Amino acid sequence: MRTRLASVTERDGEDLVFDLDVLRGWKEVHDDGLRGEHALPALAVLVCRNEDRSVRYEFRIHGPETYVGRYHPQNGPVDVILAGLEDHEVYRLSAPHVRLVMSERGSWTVRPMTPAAVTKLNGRTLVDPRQTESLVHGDMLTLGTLEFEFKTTGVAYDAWLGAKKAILVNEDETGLFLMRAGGIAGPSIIAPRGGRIVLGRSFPRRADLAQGAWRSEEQPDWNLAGLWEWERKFIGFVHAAVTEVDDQWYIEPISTRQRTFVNRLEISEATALMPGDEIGLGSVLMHFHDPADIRASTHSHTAELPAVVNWREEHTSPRLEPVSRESGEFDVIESTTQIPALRNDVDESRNGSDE
Amino acid sequence: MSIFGVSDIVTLGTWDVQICDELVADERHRAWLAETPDENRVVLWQGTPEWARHVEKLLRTFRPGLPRVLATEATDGDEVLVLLEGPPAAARPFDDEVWQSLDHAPAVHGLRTLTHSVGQLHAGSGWLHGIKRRELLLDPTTGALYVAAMPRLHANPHPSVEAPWRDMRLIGELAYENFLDEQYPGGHQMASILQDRVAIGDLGIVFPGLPQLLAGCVSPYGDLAYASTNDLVAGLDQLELELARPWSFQVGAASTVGNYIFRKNNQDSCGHIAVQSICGSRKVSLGFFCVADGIGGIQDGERASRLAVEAACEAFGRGWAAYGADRLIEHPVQFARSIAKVVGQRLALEGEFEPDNNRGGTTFSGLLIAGERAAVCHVGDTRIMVLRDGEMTDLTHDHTLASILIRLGELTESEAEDHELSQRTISRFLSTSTEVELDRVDGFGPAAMETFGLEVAARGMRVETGDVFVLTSDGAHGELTVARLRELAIEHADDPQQLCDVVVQNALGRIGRDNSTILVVRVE
Repeated sequence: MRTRLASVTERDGEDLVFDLDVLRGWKEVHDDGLRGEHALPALAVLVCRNEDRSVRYEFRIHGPETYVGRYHPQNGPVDVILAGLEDHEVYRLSAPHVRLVMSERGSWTVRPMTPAAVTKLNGRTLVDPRQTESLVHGDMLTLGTLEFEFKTTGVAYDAWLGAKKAILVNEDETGLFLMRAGGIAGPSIIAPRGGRIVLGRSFPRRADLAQGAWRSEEQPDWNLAGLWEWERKFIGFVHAAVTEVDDQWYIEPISTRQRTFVNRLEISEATALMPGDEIGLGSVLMHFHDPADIRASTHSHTAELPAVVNWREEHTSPRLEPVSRESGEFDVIESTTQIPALRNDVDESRNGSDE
Repeated sequence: MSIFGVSDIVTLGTWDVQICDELVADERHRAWLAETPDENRVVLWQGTPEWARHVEKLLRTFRPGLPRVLATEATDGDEVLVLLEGPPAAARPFDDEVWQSLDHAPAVHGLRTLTHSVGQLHAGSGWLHGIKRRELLLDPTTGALYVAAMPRLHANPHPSVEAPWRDMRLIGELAYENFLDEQYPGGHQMASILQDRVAIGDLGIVFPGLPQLLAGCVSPYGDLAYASTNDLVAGLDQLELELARPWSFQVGAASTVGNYIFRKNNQDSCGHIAVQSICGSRKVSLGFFCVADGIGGIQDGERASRLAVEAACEAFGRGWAAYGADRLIEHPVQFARSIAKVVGQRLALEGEFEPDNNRGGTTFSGLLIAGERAAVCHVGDTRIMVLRDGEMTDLTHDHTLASILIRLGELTESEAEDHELSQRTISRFLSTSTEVELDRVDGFGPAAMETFGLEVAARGMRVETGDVFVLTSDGAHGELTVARLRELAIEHADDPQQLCDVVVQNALGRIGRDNSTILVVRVE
């Protein structure tokens, strides 16, 4: 378990002509290893195609229990984030949209998370969030405006679990593993006994910028600036800390702007951790590993959310309802009601509301 | 010798071509302009077998600006006909008057291209033994020059010292005639003029770079003589640099809190930074112009938009200093978008480290003008438009709920205009809490691509003298119809500040509910 620090410029699918470090006036340190291949095999794939059958979007699912959709800070982390979509496609997605589960025998089910968003299985609308439906290779799954083909990869549950165990049983120190798409992705960091590690991302020293009121703080121990842009946008520069006191591990939120979750529930103060717990930093999930209870770590399950998720900024029609100022994965915020006099009130209430 | 008249059809191998014009007619050589049945321009040459062998050897492969042999055929009378791919149909037989009235910039550019073509022949040991005007074609709109007849073409790996000069002297003559609007006085006369500073002044050969060029072409001997076409190209490059005029930016700006009783502060910001450099006679103007509409509480929106404008100007300066003008001109779109990206990160830093004062965000629309090119970066519902030839074109596409609903087919464009809620709900902005991804910072919108071509997405749009760029916050453009804004822009195109004042006055006249900000750049 170690992180390798390498300096690279951001590149999310496009080549940068200009080094952003030059433009920002300070050097953002990246861990290149954060964008490596997934450590676990994919169990299934969601493929959305263009009219000419070429692949428009493809999302791999690396775990047997996943929430799929978009991320909204209020609703907590989502395993498979449908990133890189167009605005109108995101607008019709729920956060999360569906839950996909693979049984130990290899059969799949899908459950819609909210009746407010469109979910269809082979053209049939799924409305009841309490109802799971069986899902097989080749099924067509409609999420909002997009239709995906659900494809299994042939990897068996046991093979996947074996690969997960192989990573964890070899790790005899306590620490965090980065998760992506429902499985342990590879990168990790050790948390020293009796010590404290800060999770965050590279930020400038005070002297690097002409303005900037913040005090110069220690750079984070685990620098997550190297994550994909759509992941790291909800990671605070100094986000949270993992500590150990009297044989008990804790996670302590630091950033007041970005959210921290344990087993999908938001925390506001130092919270005890158990082996196998899922820590959420914004949209990014981490697996808490403690060799003291290896079985709890290797056989962890994802936490289940309440059946119905209230997911939309505007609950019904956007035509009449006032719009809240939520920012989120989807940055719909600037708004007013249709009554002009309220405009100013809305402005006021917008304080601190973009989360 | 075969003699063809205009409209004659000549058959050469598989080619049937129709004669359009005669270019050269001397004892041993002839040249005609002709056309294939599918209206492609060709040239037909006739000459001795030995000359034809040289033509075949030197013009067999394609070289830009030079004709290429398509077919050859011996005639009955010990002569050879050669058919060659001709210059574009827009090129006409050279005409002194047209040449003299041509603007200097295209003329110099045309001479440079011609010199380059001749240089390619020289590199292959081919020599024209002088170029005569009747052997040239001229495109009167672009100034492009083509050698359409080469009656004295020959290959010689060991040319005399005069050989390069013979082919270059006409370039000097043509440069003189274009700049001085009169006939070249002849080589001897020119040489003596160039030795007399007073005479140079009297004659008016004072355009920087021109006397040097004339001296290089006037004689094959002496220190100043051009030894090869490369020297002449360098001389023409210098002349081109002297001709280039940098843009100057006339900028106006206005911003107001508005007169709506509940709106007590101005959350809009706008600003610009411009640099101008002249290095080695090369003049470059660069500028970054932006407008930002803050979102958030009373102080927070104001802070966010101000910080965005300041951080953008800073980033522009850093980029310019580190990369130099040429690189920015080469990649204007990437530079503009990179600026918006780092501005977004700057806001996120403030939001995290000083959360109590930075709870808002801001829209951001930036315009980069780099040399001949312009690009935009855009997040939110502030707008950038350009007025050119009386037409107003949106360069940005609003990130609003209305745009999304239109895309989803739930609103039509006209319904959206009256749909205030979705117009005023924005779907992207630079936030103090989350950092916008680079691929969510837009460049040119669909209207810009429709008007200026798809290539603007990668290379930026070409800037023209007289372009008026208009950057507005929604409080300015929201109170005006597109047609009215266009009218005002046309009316006040010469005076950016006045245009800004009028637009802001208009917004005030309507008890606008929002802050109103406009920045106008006129390029001259």
